Amino acid sequence: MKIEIINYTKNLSHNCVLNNISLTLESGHIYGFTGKNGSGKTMLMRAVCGLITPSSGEVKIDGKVLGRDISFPESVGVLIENPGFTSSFSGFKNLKFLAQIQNRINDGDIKSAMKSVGLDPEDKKSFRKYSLGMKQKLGIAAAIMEKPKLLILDEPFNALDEETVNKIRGIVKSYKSKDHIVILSCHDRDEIDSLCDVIIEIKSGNISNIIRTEKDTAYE
Amino acid sequence: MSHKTKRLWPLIRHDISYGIVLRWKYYAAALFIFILSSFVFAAHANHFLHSSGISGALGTFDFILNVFAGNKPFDASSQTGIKLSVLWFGFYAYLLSLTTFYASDDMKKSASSFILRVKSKVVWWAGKFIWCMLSVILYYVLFVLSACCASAAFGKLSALVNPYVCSEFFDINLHGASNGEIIVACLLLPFAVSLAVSSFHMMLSLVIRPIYSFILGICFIAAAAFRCHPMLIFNFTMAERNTLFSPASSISVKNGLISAVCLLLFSFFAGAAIIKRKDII
Repeated sequence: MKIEIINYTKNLSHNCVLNNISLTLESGHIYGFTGKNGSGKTMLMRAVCGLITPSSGEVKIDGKVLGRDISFPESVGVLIENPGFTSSFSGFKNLKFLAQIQNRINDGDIKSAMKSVGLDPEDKKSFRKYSLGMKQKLGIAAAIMEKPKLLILDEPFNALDEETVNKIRGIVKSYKSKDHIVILSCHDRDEIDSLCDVIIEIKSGNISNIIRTEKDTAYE
Repeated sequence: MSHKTKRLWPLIRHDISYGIVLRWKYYAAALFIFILSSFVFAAHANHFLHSSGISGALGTFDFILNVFAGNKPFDASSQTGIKLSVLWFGFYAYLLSLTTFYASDDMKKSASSFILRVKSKVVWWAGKFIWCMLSVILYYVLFVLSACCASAAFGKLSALVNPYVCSEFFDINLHGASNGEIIVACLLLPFAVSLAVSSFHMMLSLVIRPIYSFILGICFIAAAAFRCHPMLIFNFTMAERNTLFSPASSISVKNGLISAVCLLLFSFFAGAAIIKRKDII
């Protein structure tokens, strides 16, 4: 899988939130977006998954232009900001609801995804009674349950305890070995440094720096 | 059946669960208001029938007309002042409050999860559109059900209209209109218009803030109450202005149905075009 972001500009209410961004993302890498709040990290993630339309420029996925040749990436799992779930349903029921849309996975896959982030699939507690950390875990489980080729996680470690953070690190690393693309953003620079092959620093809607870490053997 | 069409059904299930089942209190409140208004009307109408020595009982359509009769056009030359049917106004204002906000609310909460799985914004919009239709249908079912229950309790469970009650309370002369014509003019036409305006204001809520779309809807209802013109579509929901009962009027069933279908189709296709370009943020 290859994602090409070509001269991508996005203006919102006369503000340029992404300014002429060009970037290539390839399978087998973990990309980390860093930058201050409002720098454009989340917006760039939305651009990659086709949730926003460019003011100019384009995003190509395996040569197909988003919004023209394809509407959305064929296989994508996303956690962006607060995941919206039905408050009266249990975690499992919420994920089952989502899984039924594509109908690619069974109950076992859903349960496995929940267990991998430290949630009990048999827990009948409704989503509204979930703690902040549990909500975040369910959002990550929703993103990974269909084993997408492109995994986008915006601030995945927010509100998580150390044990769960380790589990998520393991999941992210396993995606690299499966030759998939992972994009994640995080405020903790140490976390980004330890996980990512390529670190993309974003400042005021521009890419200010691209750092290839020692782990990025594919570039050597 | 294409993959995208197949993926519509889980979306509709989500909308029924999230947009109707979990919001049952709003529909229960509507049912309560319908029953209460029927009780009040039955008390007044039965008192009129007894005091006038008129035999006959209230039928289901008397209760339906209690809401859908609306009011005569405002006549600036008369000294009677402004008359507005509160029940008619409230019925449509409440319906718009049920249907205008849901799509934009759901877009903020969970649209990205669903749209990325469905792979189509238009299918997501189609789900919302179908939800809107179902919501209006449920609202009308509750209304007709309350009218049937009220006529069973206070009159006789019959679709017949009591001409004396019609003349006294609604300023409607039946002119020998058939039951079929009355059903079309007093129930199916308001229903068709409700489907159209609900979907229109839901579509509008994608463009402007939902609260502005709702306020605009209220303005359209109020404008129709005071100005009898076919361009103000809520005129078609008032039986007192229908050509069936007021031959001089320009508010005909045919024009109403055509307007409703056109607005419904416009709302769907305009909404689809808007959602294609809309950023999911």
